[in-house]
Amino acid sequence: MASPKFLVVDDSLTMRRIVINTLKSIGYDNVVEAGDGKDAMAKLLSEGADFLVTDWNMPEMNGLELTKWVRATEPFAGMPILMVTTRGNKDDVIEAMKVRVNNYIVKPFTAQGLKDKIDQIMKATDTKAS
Amino acid sequence: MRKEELEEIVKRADQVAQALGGQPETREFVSHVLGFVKHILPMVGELQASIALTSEKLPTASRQLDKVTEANFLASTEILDTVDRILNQVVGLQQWVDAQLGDANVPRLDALVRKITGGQTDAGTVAELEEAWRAFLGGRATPGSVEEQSARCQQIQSDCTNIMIALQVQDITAQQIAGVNKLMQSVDDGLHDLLHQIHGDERDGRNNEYSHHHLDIVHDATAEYTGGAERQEMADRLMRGDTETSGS
Repeated sequence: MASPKFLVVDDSLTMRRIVINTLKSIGYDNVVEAGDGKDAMAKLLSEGADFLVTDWNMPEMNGLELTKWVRATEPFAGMPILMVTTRGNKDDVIEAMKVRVNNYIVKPFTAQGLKDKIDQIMKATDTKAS
Repeated sequence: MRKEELEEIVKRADQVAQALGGQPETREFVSHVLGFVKHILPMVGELQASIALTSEKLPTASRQLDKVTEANFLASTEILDTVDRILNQVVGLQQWVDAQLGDANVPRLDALVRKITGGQTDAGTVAELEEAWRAFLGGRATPGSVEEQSARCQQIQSDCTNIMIALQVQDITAQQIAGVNKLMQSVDDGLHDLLHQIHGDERDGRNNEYSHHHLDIVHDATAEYTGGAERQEMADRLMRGDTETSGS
């Protein structure tokens, strides 16, 4: 099975590099990136992706708005979404759950933490599909 | 109340005191009021000067914070570049080490043995088998040492990943500094309002004094770089639907 294509969205160049390199270190080489929600929308529409890893706080369009757009837009509506953010309050997590992110990581994360969350999402998605 | 207005009160109180010259109680009261106003008059001046000075320093501090964030960003970028280069080198080294373990020669040996057992026993094939066998033995000659190098490569890769992960501090502190910059701007706004009240100056817009490339970011005021996992554990409990124990 081909490696899934990840779209990493974060306005911080440092964070994008960290997430992308961590994904590569755990075996996911097929990665594209975007600097904010609008950029991500354009990337999805032009080249697609299988898995979205997005920050919350971003200019133009934030991660929450991006998630709402993805969930309302075919063929991306069922796409796995992992939110990676500094926002670690209970209300934030609940708000993210309402827009149906598949999982949630509070920065700073560990490589193992990122891998575990992706594995969980992949497993849950496979279970649903089968 | 402006300084000029206080000075006017002092002047008027003096006139009232002179006009009420013959009534001791009233004269004493006016004298107290006069003393109080005279006492706070220089304080108002000092307060005004202090506010003005503080308000001048705040934009300078904001520019310094921008430089701190920029320096952090540049240093992080350089570290990430270096880590990338190390990782690329280690991946190459790991491949070489793996080849030294001899495993790379196994498929070749297998193919040659199949040829010979299939009847292809010419001198070239036999010589090739001998060469492949020696290469295999060479790789296995010091297995402990080669395996050790392989483990070292993996450790370096793991360390590089940990360095990258630690660089999240750049993003998190950038958000914290942007939050502090906003606070400083709001303090400066308050001080300017005070100056306006005291001095009567028209309030000047100073937003651009706090608008810097590295500080004008969408930030999270609650961002923090902690080693603890409490916030992640709370998020995990909520995501699992375990709302009873998720806390606040």
